[in-house]
Order: sequence, then C-alpha cells, then structure tokens
Amino acid sequence: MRVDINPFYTRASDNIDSEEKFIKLFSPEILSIFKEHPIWHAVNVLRSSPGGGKTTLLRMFTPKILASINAGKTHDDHSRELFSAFTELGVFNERGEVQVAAALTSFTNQYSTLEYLNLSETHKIRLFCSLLNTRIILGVLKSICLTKELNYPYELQRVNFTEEQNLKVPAHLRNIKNGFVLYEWATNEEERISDQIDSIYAETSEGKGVDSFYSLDLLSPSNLKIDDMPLDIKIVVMLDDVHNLSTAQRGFLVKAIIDKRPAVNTWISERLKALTMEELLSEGSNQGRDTNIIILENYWAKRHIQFEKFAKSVANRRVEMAFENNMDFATFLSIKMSSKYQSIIKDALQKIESRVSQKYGNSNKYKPWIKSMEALDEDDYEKLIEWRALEILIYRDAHRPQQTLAFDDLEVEQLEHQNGNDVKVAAQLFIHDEFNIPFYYGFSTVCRLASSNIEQFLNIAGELFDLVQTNNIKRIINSGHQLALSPEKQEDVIKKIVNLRWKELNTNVPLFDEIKKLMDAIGQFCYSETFVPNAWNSPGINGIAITMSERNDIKDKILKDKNHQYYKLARCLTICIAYNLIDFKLNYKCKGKEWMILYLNRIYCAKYQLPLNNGKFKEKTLKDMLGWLNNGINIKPKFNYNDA
Amino acid sequence: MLRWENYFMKSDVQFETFWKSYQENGKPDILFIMGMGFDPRTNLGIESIYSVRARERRDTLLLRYYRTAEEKDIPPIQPVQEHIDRLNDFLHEAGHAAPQIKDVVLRSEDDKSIASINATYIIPDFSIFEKYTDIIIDISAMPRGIFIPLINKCLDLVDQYNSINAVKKNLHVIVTENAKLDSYIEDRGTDETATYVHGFRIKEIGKTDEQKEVWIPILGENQTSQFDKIKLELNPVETCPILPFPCDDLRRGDKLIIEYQERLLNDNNVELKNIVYADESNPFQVYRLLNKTIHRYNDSFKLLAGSKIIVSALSNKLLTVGAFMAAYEKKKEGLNIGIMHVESLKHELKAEFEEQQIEIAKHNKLFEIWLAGAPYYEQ
Repeated sequence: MRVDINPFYTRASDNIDSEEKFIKLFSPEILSIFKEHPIWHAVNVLRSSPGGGKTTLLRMFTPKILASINAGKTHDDHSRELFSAFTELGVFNERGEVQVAAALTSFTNQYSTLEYLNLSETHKIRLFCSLLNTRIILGVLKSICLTKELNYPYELQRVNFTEEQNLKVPAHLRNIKNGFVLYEWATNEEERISDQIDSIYAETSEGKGVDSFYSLDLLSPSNLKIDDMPLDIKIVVMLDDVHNLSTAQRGFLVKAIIDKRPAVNTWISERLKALTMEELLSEGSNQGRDTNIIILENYWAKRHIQFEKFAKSVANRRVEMAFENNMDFATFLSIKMSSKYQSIIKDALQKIESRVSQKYGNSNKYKPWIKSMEALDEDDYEKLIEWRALEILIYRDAHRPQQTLAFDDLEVEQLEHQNGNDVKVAAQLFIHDEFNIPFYYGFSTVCRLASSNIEQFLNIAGELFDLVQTNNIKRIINSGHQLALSPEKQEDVIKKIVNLRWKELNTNVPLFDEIKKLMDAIGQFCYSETFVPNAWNSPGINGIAITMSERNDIKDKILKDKNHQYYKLARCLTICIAYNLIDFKLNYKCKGKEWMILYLNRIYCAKYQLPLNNGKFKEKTLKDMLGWLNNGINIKPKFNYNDA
Repeated sequence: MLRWENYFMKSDVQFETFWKSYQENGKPDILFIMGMGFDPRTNLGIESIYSVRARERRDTLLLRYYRTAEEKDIPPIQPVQEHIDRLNDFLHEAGHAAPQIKDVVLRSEDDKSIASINATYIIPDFSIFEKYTDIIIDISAMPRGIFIPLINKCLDLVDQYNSINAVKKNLHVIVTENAKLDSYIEDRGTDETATYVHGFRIKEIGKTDEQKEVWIPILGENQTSQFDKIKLELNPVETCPILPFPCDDLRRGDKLIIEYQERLLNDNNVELKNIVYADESNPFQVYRLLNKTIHRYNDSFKLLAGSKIIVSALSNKLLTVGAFMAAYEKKKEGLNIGIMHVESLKHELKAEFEEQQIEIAKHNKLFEIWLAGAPYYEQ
C-alpha cells in the first residue's frame, strides 16, 4: 500500500489494517445520508459507481472500528466528532456503549463461479443460499463476540437461541441452541461448500440445502440470549459488492431480501453496473416503506456545497498524514495566473479591447458600457474576463431580433444586471478556447470534475498532490520554492487524467466503440452550442434531454425488444449510466413538458472544453441520437472570434 | 522428495530429436490438444511432432475461443482463419484425421470471466484419454486462464489412472517460446478484477481467517496493471517477487525492477531480500524455488495459524508452468495455495510485426515438458 508515499492514493475501503488509520481517513459528512432515511428496521440499499464510498461507509459500522472510536474519543478530536455523529444515529448509547453488532460480508467471484459450474439450477441456488447463510451466521456470531467482548469463538458457548420453534429455520438447525455448536456446524458447512465450488469435477447430485436466507431470521436479536439475558443490541447484516454476483444470483438475492423484510437490519451495497437496464432508468423508484435506496452520487449531486465540504475534509485528512503542519489542500491549487501568462493575458486583453472598440466603439448606445470597462481597476486577468463578457453582452444586444425603439444610451446598471456569473464563466471558457489560457483549475473545479464521486475526486487530487510533494522536496534546496501549483500545471494534470481515463474506458466499458461515438457526438454537440457568439446558454451546456415519454418508451418497450430500431441506442445509454459516463435527472419540467436530462460526467466535460456547472441542456430526440450513433455528428463550423 | 526432483525436458534441436526417436521407437498413440489463435506460433508444435511418419493414432483436439457465446456465429479474424486453413491442410497432407473442434467461451452474458471454469470442462472425464498412450498439450496459443485449468484437470486424471495401472499414460506440455515475439504482442485490455484460476482458489473461510497471506508474483514485462489489480484483491503480510535470471537478456531482471520500482520499493511488505531469481527457460527450476519458498513461509507461519500462499504468474509460459507445478503439488499436500491472475480481454500483434516477422521467427524455440507418465515410475 502506498499510504506513506501519497495518502491520496490510499482508499479507506482498501485493506487498511489499522483501525486508527482507517478512522483518520474517514470524514463524517457522509453519515448525513442517514439523516434523510430511517437507518434502522429497513433494508438499506446503497448504490454508486466504483469509488462512491459504499464500502468505507459500511466498514465504519463494524465492531473493531466502533471500539476504536469509543477508545479514541477521550483523547482525539476526530474520534470525538465521529462518536457524536454515531451517537446521533443510535450506534452508541448515552453511556457510550456500542448498540450495534454489524457483520460485513463481501461477495467475491467465488459466488458467481457457482453460476457457471455444470450443476442444475436448483443445486446452484441451494449452494448459493447455503454458502451465504453460513457466512452471515459466522459473521454475526463473530461480531456479537467483538461487540460484547467475548472470546471468539470459545465464548460463543454463552450465546443461546431461544426455545421457540422457528419454522423459517431448516429442520436440521432447529435443534442447535448454542452459539458455539452453530459456529462449528457453519465452519464445516462453509468448507464443504467452498471445496465443492472449486472442484474440477462436475457434481451430478441435486445436493441438499435450502433456498432461502433463513440466517436473517435465526439471528434476530429476539431469538438470541447471552448468559440467558436477552440480547440488547441491534444486529446488522451488510452485504457488500453485490455487483460481483451473476445477474441471476443478484436478482434472486435482492428480491428475496426485499420481499422477506428480514428480522435483522440488512444493508446491501452494489455498483450501478449491476442494475438491470430497467432499474438503471428508474432512479430508485421501487423505493418502499421498508426499503431505502440511496444512490450516493445523486445524493451529493443535489448538495454540491456539502459535497465540496466533504471532499475538503477528505483531502485535508490526507494532507495531514503527509505534512506535519495543518494545511488546507485548497491552498495548494493556486487560482492566480503565473507570470508565464501575464504577457499572454496582456495581449489578449489588448486584442479584445480593440475588437470591442472597433466594432461597437462608435455606437453611442454602447459607449457607457465600454467606458465603464475602461475605468476598471482590477488585475489584467479579471479585466480580460470583464471585457470578454462585455463583448458577449453587446453581441447579444446588437443581434436581438427586435431592437428597442428607444435611442437612449444603455445604463451601466443594466450591464451589471446582465453580466452575471454565468456570462463571466462563459467569457472565461471563450478566453480559454481562443487564447489557451487555463480554465480547469482550483479546488472548486476539482470538486466539480469529481461528478459527486469521492474516488474520482481523490484520483485527481492525488495526481495534483504528487506535484505538491515534489515541490516540498524542492524546498529543501530552495526554501522559497512554492508549494502551490499554478493554474496551467493543474490544467495539464487534469487533462492528462481525462485522456488516460478515456483511454481506459476502451477496455473497461462494453460496446465502447459505439459508446465513444455517442459520447463524442454529445460532447461535440454541447461544444457547438456552447461556443456561439451570444453565449445564449451561458455558461454553456453539458447535457442533452429527451422527453419523459421517450424515456418511458426506452424502459417499457425498446429495451424489451432486441429487434427494435432503437435497441442499440437504449443499450448504449444504459451502459453510459451504469459506468458513470452520464448522470441523469428524471421528470424535469421545462417548456410545458417533462424531460429526462442526460449530463456528461463532469470529468469528460474537460475533454470537450465544456463548463462544469450544473443545469444547461438542449432537447434532442431519440431519432437525433440514433443518427449520431450510426453516422457520428455533423457539426456546424465554429464561429471565428474576430468575425463574431 | 519433490515430485519433479528429477525431470524430463528437451528444447530446440533436442525437442525435434526426442520426438522423432520417441515416435519411431515408442510407437505412441497421440492426442494433441492445442488452441487456435492469432499467435504465429499456433501450428509450430503440431507441425513438428506430426511430421514424423507414424501408423499409430494421431488425433487433434482444437480449442476455438469465443469472447461470448454470441460470437460463435461471427467468422474468425483473418490470422485465425489462416491458421485454421494451414492446420487443416497440414493434417490432410500428413494423412491425419481432421481436428475435433471444441468451443471455449471466455465470458458470460453478464461479462464475467468463465474461461477457467470452461477450460476445466474441456476434458470432462478420463474416457477421452482411453485410446491414447500420450497426451500432448501445446500451450503456445492458449491463454493462462485456459492452460492452467486444462493441465490441472489432465494431470489429475492421468495421475489417478497411473496410480492404479501398470501401463502408464504420458502427459506432455509443449510450448514455443519466443521472448522477441512476446514483446510484439499487446494486451488490449484486461479484466476489471483479478480472479483465482478455477481449481486453484485459496480457502477463504472461517477456519482460515487467521492465516496470513503471502503473495508470490512472478514478474514479467507490461503487466503492471495486472500486478495492481491482483494486489488490490490481497492483503499480504509478505510479498516475494520472482525475477528471471539467468535469461537471454542478462539485464532483464534489472529492467523489471525498474519497471516495477514504484510498486516494489514503496511497499512495506516487499523486502528486497525476498526477491528470488529463477531461470527463465526452466520451469522445473521455478518449481523447485517456489517449493522451497512456500515451505519456508509455511513453516514460519505455522505458529501463527498458518499461511495462505497466492501465486501469480505475470511472466512467460514456461515460468507459469513452473508455478503451476508447485501449486499443484502443494495443493495435493493440503496447503492453502491458490493461483490468481487477471484475464486479458484481447491480444493483438503490434503493427511493426509484419515487417519483422521473418527475423522474429528465428527466435522460436520449442520446449517439451514431460509432466507425468513413464519417466517418473520405476520400470
């Protein structure tokens, strides 16, 4: 693990063996997702793209981590903060005792192997259920021991099951009333099944076993006693990496658990790619009274400021591991243009000033605006943005279909009113495009590029931090060497990451040749709509939208008919969603219709020179998109800045 | 004593001499199992062995690979078609039966790797071998995920048969090695995650919870992303890399250390003194060294609930066969040992290969590894 070299490369979900180190990297902001949903007595389904933070979140509830928080709260501020956040959730009681015994079971490809062995379907399901039941039993028994400070497994002798006949439990287990006996049975059963799965000879018998998840009833706290006293803690079964199961196994498991309403708290976590095409287009609409479906990226997308705060905290925890002094990661990402760009900015400013003066300087109507620009007392880059924004606004005004009849001069207040932040961002983008002056830099930009995915953020931040560390080494020789990275250096790194990511998609994403065509078409279309002289949709668009009725057609008709003319397009769209290339929003009301908006993942916006802000999109039909998919896109030539 | 303490291996000119004399004197009935691929070495083994005139059985089992079941209807790419035609022409001219074709699907409908499971079922039971005295597996055009489980199954079947029969069945593995050609083959993508080869999954169960993981990667060029993916699945307390030496290019080991430096030198679990050097052209030496290493770790961790040994072959096929032999033997002895790998999704020859192919072909070297049968039993 490269933890000591660049802590940004350490993932909390990796095998970090020390609880203290794991806790140190955990930022409690993510616990806010449980404030919206009832955490207990429901099935919680956590979904995200890889790196959304699912495993980290689950691991936080495991006994050793909770014990470590409990122990650390007396001397460590961060542990204290976590303790109080967990107490609010009911994980600790007011006396500081742990109230939860959580067992984390991760699905490896051992389970999916089962699906492809030469076994009957009944046998496969029986083996799958039997293996999972044994793992849940062993996980929960161990978790109870850790939480209650019993010596595992020997002190399981003190754990007993109530005398009630539980008919949901298979007959051969009903006579087992003692925790240690159950442990011994489960370990032997687990070994037998594992050997069977790895066997190189096909099994011909139907096999014994069950086809239900009885362990979720058997381990109900009401069914358990320690030293003949009722168990006073909640049991949580956490099933991680469900996407590693085969499609059939996942379908069986999720349905069984949701239908079952288990007696123990059951949490499921999976990647979006595991979802069926229909589920992908439904945005968790099968959420019910007893089931919470939480899509982590969607949660953060609606709360970008909170995400930025979360990302900052995640980054600063890592900076703390590398540097002794408390430093803010954001300060390493300078927003001041380096001296290399000063002359470029000066030239650009001159060019735009003279372009505006030449074209509009003689018009009395625009003189006050131009005059107010000339009076600006800002640094050259700020002035450049203001002038470019002015050029956009005057163009808009001059090319309005119906000019105002009044001949009065335009008021400066009117300029201030129109010259909002969106126009300034568009101006910056135009400057980036025309003069190659950096646009993608700064902490906020890095957060936007993450598209609400914390690993995506860490990947970008990690590469940037590599250079910060190099600067730190250079300071040994030259104490005046700056730690912070200039905007152009940041943009360089960001563009390299984007290109690399894009290249990797070729091997990771199915149907990538088609997907690439579609993504390129969307990107180029957004580019052509963004870089128009009046910047009508400032700061620019980074998404397209189809009507909800077309989306319903995809979900209800097209995806169910492989011969449908739009099937390939629909499949490409669902793959884009599953692999987090596209974010989407349903039921957006606009122009009297309801829309499904498809936004490019922000990291790919940098590939097409698009803005990173949320919101702007342009309507398209499935027919248009099918044309893109089949023939690529025919883009109108970009306007010439000097002719505009 | 090690099973392959004394071994039988021939290469290059000796390969041809051996097969000529063995066929003339031993009169074997041969089943030749080979993969069909784009690799220019695909047909070299069979052409060399089946060129010797013989009256005995000369059958061929040809494995055709398909990425998905749906691809079975698509015609093969040009180099594969050329190799199929060349094989059919050769067998026809030599008077041998046309090959029996066996389809091997590499990925499931839901894009999960099923290559090593399906490879295990290529030979379902011993009845396939009954008519033959010798079974040859040519791994030149077989990916790791296919040939490891295939050899594993064949060796297990042959071992079972030989343990109770006086007349032994012989199992040979042959391979055409060419390091120069290997450097012209590019991986076009790898599986998203590392997986255990079917039949070589370590036991990760309640009973082995406390066992410590030891990882033995056999390093090779251009495999750093595979290295990373395997590492991500493991949590080893010790990593023991194996580097090739002696080898044709004497600096190959050093170059590999440079290629992997970030991974080896920044990892607290890698001690430079743990690096083991093994002859790149002798799988039996790798086998012996691995055996020794595994023994050492197993003894050390005995007091601490034992160890889980994970071997990953990221290097050439000969070394991979050596790793397989060690894993096979140790698994039979009851050790918790597994082979983890990352499947390549597609291979391609670099464009420059076309111009250089005649020069590159000069480096082809055939190896014979006699894995089981007559030489290992007292007459």
